[in-house]
Amino acid sequence: MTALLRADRVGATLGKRRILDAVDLAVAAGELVVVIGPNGAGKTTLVRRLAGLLDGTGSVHVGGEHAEAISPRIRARKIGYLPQGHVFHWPLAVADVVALGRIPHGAGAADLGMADQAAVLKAMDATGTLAFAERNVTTLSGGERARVALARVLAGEPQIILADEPVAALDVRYQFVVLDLLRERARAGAAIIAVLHDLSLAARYADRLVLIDGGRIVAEGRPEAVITHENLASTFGIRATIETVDGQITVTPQGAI
Amino acid sequence: MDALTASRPDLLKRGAASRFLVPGLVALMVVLFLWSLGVGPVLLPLRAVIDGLFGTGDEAARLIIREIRLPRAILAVAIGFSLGLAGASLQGLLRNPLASPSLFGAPSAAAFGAVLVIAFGFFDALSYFLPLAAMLGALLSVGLLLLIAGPRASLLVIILAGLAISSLAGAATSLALNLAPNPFAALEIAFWLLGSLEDRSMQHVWIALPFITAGTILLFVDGAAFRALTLGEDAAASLGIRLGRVRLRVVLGVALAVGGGVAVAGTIGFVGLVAPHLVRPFVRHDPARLMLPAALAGAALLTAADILVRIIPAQNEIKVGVVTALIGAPLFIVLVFRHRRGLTGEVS
Repeated sequence: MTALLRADRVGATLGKRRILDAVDLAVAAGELVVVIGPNGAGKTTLVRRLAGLLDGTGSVHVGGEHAEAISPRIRARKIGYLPQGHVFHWPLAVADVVALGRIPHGAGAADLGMADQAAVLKAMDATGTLAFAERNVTTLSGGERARVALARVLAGEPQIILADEPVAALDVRYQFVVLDLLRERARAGAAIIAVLHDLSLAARYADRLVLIDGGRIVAEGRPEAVITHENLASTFGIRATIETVDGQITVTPQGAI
Repeated sequence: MDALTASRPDLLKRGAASRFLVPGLVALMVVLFLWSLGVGPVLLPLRAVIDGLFGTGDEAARLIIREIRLPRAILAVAIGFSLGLAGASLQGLLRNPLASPSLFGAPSAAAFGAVLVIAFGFFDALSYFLPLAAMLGALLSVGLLLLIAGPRASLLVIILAGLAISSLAGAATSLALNLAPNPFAALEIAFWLLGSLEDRSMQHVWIALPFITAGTILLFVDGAAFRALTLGEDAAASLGIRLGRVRLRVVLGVALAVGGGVAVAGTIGFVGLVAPHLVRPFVRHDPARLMLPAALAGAALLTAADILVRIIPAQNEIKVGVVTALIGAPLFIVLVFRHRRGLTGEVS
C-alpha cells in the first residue's frame, strides 16, 4: 500500500525546546492510526507539523508529493485538520460554520454551489448536527460544538483527516458516534490520524497505535503490541490492568507509579 | 443526497436575511449626501442642490454646492466608508468586536506624521507628502500593534499596547506643537487635529482619494479569510488561508485608509468601531458579509455627523471629530461592559 501521508524524520522546536524529534510515520488510505502519549509528549505538535502548520526538520509527503511543493489551498483540500478545543469566535449559525469547510474548494465569500451544499448537508447529517443547523454556534454545549467542528472538517471531503482529541468533550455515546464516523471515513478510503487520551477507546478503534513520549515514537503497531504494562509504566507512569475480552482490549488504570 | 439538499433549501442561502441591507444603506447614504449639500449657512432646497450639482441654476448656489459643499460631502463619504471597512477588517482579523483603528492609536500616529510635516513647514498642507507621512505614522502604529499581539495575545494586551501607542503618538504630537516655530501654525494644527471637514476643497479630495481607494481595495480582499478565522488561526491556516499575507494586507489597507483620511480631515475617531457594530446583527455576525454594510454604514454615519455639526447652533462650528468621539466613546464603554468577561480571554 502506498502512503497517503508520510512523515520522514520530522522534528519541531518551540523556542529552544525540542518538542518533536525525528519521527517517521506513514498512513495509508483506509487506515485509522491513533496516537497516544502522556501530556507534553508532542502529540499536538506532531499533528500540526503533519498538517503543515509548523515548520521544522524532516519532510512530509502528501499523496506522494512533497508538502512544501503543494499550494496551501490544494493541501487544504487534501488534509482536513481538526484542532483541539473547538473554538468559535463569532456567533455564526451552525450551518455557516460547517460551510467554512468548503473554503478550500473555492466557496470562500460567494454563495455555495450545489456540490458545496451537498457536502455540507451530508457532513451535518452524518454528525447529527442538522437538528440545530440554524442555532448560534456559541450557544451550543461542548459535545454539540465538537460535532459541529468535526462536521466542518468532513464537509471539505478530505482524503486525509488529522483529528486532535476529537472526542475530548463528548459524552460516552458520542465518543462512539464520532469514532465510528472516523472509522467509516477510513473504510471509505481516507487516511486518518486521531489523537486520543482514552486508552481503551484507542485500542478499540486503532488499526495501528502509535505511542509517543518525549517527542519520539516509543512503540508502534497493533494495539495488543503497544499497550503493555511496561510501555504504560515507562511513558504514562501508571499501573494498569489490561484485559482482553472478546478480542477487545480494556485498560483500567490503577494508579500513578 | 439530493433529497437531503432538497429538504433544506433555506439552510445555506447566505445573505437572505440581509437582502435589503445593502440597498437600504446605499439609499440612506444618497439621501444624507444630498442633504449635506443643502445644509449650511445658506439652506438650499433639494431642487437647488440638484440644479447646482449639474451646473444649471443660479451662479451663487452652484458655487456653494460645487466648490464648498461637494468636496466636504465626498470626503465624508470616502473617509467614513474606509473607516467603517477598516474597523470591520481589524475586527475580522482579531476576531473581536472591540477592535478598531482608534483603539490601536492609528489616527493619533497618523496625525503625528502629518503634524510633523506641517509644523516644521517641510511641505505645505496640500502636498502629497502629508498623506504619505500620515500613512507612515498609521503603518508604524498598526504594524507595531500586530507585532506585539502576535498570533495569540489576549485582547487585554492589544488594548494596553494600543493605549501605549496612542499616548506616545499624542505626546509626540504635543512636542511638535510645543516646538512649532510659528504660534499661528500651532493653533491651526490644534484645530485641525480635532477632526473637521470644514472648508475642504477638491484639492483635498484628490490628495486623500488615491490613498483611501488603494486601502479600500486591499481591505476588501480578505473576507473569506476573516470568515475562516472564526475557527482560530490554526484551523484557518489549515483551510489554505495564508495568514501572513492577510495580516500584511490588513495593516497596509488600514494604514492607507486612515493615513489618507487623517491627512485631509484630522483625527476622526470611533467610526470604525461604531459602524460594524450597527450592522453586525443584520448579517448574522458573518465577518465577511459584514464588510460592505459596515463600510456603507461608516459613510452614512460620518455624513450624518457632518450634517449635525452644521445644524447644531454654536458660536464656532463644532468639529465633526468631536461629534463622532462623543457618540462613539460612550458606545465603546457599553461594548466593553458587555464583553468584559471575554476581555480576559484569548483572542486567538
